[in-house]
Amino acid sequence: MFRLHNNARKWGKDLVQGDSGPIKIEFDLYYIFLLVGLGLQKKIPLDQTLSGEIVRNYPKSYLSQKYKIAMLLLYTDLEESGFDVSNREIVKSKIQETFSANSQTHLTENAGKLLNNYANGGFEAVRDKMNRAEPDGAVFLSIINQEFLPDLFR
Amino acid sequence: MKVSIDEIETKGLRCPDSRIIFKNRTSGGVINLLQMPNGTGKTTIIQLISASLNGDIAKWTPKEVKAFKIKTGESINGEFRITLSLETNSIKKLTFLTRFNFADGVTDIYTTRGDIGEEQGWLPPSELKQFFSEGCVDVFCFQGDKTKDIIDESKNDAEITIKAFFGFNQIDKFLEDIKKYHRDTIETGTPITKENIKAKELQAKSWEVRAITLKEDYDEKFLEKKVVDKNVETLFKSQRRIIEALDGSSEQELLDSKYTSANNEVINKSNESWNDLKNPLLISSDLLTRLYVFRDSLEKMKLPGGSRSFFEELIREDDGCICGEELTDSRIKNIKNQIEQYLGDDEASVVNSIKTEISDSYENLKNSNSLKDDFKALDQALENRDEAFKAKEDYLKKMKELATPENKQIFEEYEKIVEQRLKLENILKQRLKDYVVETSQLNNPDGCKSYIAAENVAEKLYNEIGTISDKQGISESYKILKKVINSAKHNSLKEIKVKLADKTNEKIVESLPSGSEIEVLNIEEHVKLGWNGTSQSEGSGAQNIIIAYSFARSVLEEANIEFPLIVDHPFTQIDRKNRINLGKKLGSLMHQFIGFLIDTERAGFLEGIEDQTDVCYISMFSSQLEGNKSFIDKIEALPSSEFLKTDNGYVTYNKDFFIENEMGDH
Repeated sequence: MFRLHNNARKWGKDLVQGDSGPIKIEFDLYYIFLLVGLGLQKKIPLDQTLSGEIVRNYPKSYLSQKYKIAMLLLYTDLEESGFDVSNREIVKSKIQETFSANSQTHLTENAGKLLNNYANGGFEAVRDKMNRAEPDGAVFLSIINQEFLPDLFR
Repeated sequence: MKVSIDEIETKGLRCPDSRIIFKNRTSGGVINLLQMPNGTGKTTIIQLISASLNGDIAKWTPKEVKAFKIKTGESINGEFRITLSLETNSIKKLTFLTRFNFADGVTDIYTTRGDIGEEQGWLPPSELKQFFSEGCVDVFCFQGDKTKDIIDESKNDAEITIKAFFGFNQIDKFLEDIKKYHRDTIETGTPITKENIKAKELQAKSWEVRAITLKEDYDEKFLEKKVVDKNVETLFKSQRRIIEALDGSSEQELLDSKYTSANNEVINKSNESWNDLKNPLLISSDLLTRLYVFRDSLEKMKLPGGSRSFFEELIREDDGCICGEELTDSRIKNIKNQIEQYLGDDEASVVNSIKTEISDSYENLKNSNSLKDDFKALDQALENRDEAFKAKEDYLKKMKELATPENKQIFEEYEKIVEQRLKLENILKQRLKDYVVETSQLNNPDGCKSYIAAENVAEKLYNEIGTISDKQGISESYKILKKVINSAKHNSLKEIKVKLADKTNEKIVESLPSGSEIEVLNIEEHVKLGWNGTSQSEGSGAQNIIIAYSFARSVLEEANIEFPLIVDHPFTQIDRKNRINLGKKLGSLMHQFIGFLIDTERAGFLEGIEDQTDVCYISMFSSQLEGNKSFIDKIEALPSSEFLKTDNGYVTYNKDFFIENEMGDH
């Protein structure tokens, strides 16, 4: 379900494969892109043929965040679409489009795709500031903090 | 079983001809200290002991064999003999004798077991064979920087050790055997569908071949890296000696240690920042407040409505309305219209969980600044590390400029070899990467650089072939058997690691001064250190040694076997105070300790072991070197029964001689 653009995977290869720092798996990178994409309300459709599935379900260390991520997706997409978040009909229909108790991610297939689009948007935003991924995980996190965190979810 | 080294004998090798008898006793610990001037052959002796025990000595290449030839003299033969005591209810002897033929670069091994006479070949008793392997011998025979290898994040020495000691290598071999059986059987199968089984077989074979090629390349590079690692270590030491000669101080050590601790701080702070960043609700308090308001609004909208399923059931059962009236079509239509406004059970359960999560987060985190604080601390740690790195580099640059042209070359060689090591590490990592090859790449095995990924594809394809041939039953049984074995292996490995981590921590507490803030957090491929849940890449010199010894003792204890602890330069990276402390405790760590000591390690350590009852002081040196003249004069002044003189060297067990004569660099 979780897919990244091939360019994003290539871009972050040295960071993920590097020895130092906490970014150890591709999903860590995906998660950062996702935060940036959601936080800036930036989504870019992900071409299935130019992307690869990095993992089907949430890795163990992210399981405790699945409700928060689902909520952020719902809320962000409502806002990004310009809908009134207090409109009962709109919210209800968006919930039905987004949530599913039957999948490990608690997201419907379409919501999964939407999530990937936000991660893809996040990747493009990060790449605009960093031509190549800083291979040292600690430095990378510091740059993400300085360049993005204060502007996210404003 | 308790294994001890009784004696070793060398002749015609790259160290003085000698017979060294190590002290041992049935109860309590014995410390054997062997001092030799640098360049006399300490490393040679340790290599010979290790290779005799793990059987590598029988597999050496001609080049490796020839490297052990005595530096002077024309002799084309050499000999190394090691005799061990194996103690269970009785004591049995085991001897490995290796005869070197330097002209042809070959070795012949002979084994003598108990009353059985000498037999040709490397033949350890069956009950010890499992332990006489590379992964096992490395645990008690510490060569070079082995104490650090166990805790080095980039190495997997700890896991290799555990797998070797607890039979996991045998399980892997068994899995290989059943895999081979499965694939051989599948190839004899007949297709039961019209699918093109031949094409699939060819594809599977091509991936199998690719996996084998990549594995061979991995093994080759792995060995190459071992050699490079040794060269890095040697050049590092040479560089350090040059610097000490130039500067006469240990400033480099201090700068290195400052950098290490600054780097540890960066690792800790980045882990803390990352852990907090993994909770997206910590990013912005505005966001948290907005989500909380949204949560309230969901409450007010009565989303989710809990009664939808109740009414759906009511309509399904068609047994009248709850008010007692009949459920007519128009009433049913009306109810359906009403319940349509509510969420189904599926969505409702997710929304309810989300609402709870937001409430909890809001209560706990609304005033939290932890993420900002974490990143502030991380930025400070990065700044400190940059400064420490710069200080270290500037110092090295300054020393390089001061060095003679010849010594400058050592600096340059060191830089080059470190770069080479990095390249090899990257290739090894690539070969080991565990990932799923995409379907579009299935016709391109050459594009795959990982033997694990290639093997995954081969395995998947063979399984598919199995399911479309008349060997389907075999294929399914194989899948189940493999799954069961792998799962048992995985769980056992996990359990043993937890047990060993606990045991190692118990021993660390026994050996380190109270208040030492270091422990094993867990064991992954390496032993992960830290304190109170926060990890750090390494401890101080003394802590690293204690941890390595404690880990080794725990492994041996858990495997129910005792081996001597053999260590090259046991105390180089420890300060005087800690040497005293370690010296006092050494006797209780193992039943037999054999340490190869140099002069710089004596201060403090000799005071520490002063009270130990059983210490054997051994001095050995070459009679062929001009620099040893003063030792020769003094040893010749001893009664002849106090020393052994060979064609090219001396050995003595005289304590006073040991104490009075420091042996290190000439």
